[in-house]
Amino acid sequence: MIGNQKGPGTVVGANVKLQGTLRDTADIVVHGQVDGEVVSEQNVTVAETGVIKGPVTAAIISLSGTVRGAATAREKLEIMPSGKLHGSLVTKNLIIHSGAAFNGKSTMEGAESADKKQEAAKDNAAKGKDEIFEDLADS
Amino acid sequence: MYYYIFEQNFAGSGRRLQQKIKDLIAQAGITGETVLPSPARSLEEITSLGIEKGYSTIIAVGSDIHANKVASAVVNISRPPEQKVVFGVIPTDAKESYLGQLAGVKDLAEAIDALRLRKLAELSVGQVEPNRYFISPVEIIFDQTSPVQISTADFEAVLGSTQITITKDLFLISQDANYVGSRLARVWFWFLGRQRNNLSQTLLHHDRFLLATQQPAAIFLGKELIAKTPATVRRARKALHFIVSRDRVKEGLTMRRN
Repeated sequence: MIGNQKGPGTVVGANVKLQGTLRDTADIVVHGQVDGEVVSEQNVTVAETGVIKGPVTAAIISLSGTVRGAATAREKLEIMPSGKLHGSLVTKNLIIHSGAAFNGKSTMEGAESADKKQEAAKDNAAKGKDEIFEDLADS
Repeated sequence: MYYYIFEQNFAGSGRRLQQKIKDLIAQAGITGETVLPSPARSLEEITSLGIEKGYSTIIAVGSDIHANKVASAVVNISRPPEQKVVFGVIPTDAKESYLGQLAGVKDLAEAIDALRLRKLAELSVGQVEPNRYFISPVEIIFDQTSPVQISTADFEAVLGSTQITITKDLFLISQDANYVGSRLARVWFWFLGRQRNNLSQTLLHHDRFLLATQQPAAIFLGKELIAKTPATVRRARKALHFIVSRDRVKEGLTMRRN
């Protein structure tokens, strides 16, 4: 799907069965069934009646329905109480509400590099102290 | 320079309105040739005649149905690439007119002033293949919920619908007036006391749709039947140089002076 123009986005109604790839630069809302990939540059909302069998990629994913596939959210992934995710997820910011179901591998983007930065800062701080003690010893 | 194609219903009692419009055109200093379709000459023929004569500005005077027909003829008629033809409208019911809104005009005076100032926008139009173009949305209406198959280069969808509307920018809107959803969903929303949105509303957009139904379904532009399913509807980008009002800025249109 080509979505170069600014517009209301894409809505898959509850009585729709769609096969293939759904792409939009704007929001995508799924109330029906999608067999295939869903890609948005903005938000993907899977409503309570929505089912996606395939990967989902967006800036923000809000899941009240079911996704069987990998979910990649650049900014945030939120699984609502009725939401079910069967597949891996990659995101910066993860919210799983009580009652939600998640079966898969979770990767928090940015978590590893944040840890490394903290360790590097600690190392630098430790090196700084050693140098001070050496200077004091020399003097 | 200006070629005015009046709608056929200007004959008879519409002559007073026709004269009023001609007077306003003369006052604005944009007189030209005025023609009316007749049984002897169809709209497409007289549009073609105007372009052959070298008129660079074709103006449809009348309803949206009439303006859509003229616009379709303008897009269809083959001509050398260097011969630029510009399309404009004088909608006789500007408040209700979709093309009037597109042009940014609310009444006859504003429409004629827009023609005088001649600000152009490159307008994308819809096309029902092979050769019927449209600016106003087209519709398919079913008596009862009917399955519709929608195919594009990226996906295929099957849905139940009572009405499908397709805009000139190829936004397809489908709704099913009979959809009530699953029993569980109905009970759930009733229990929560929440207003339920019409979950059967579907909005898709692409550059090309192939529509298929179990029985051939009529595609209407206003009240005019223009095609039947199965049909391919596509977007013809920037197919028309369209005269708009000076203040009109519309998303998706490329505005330039002329």
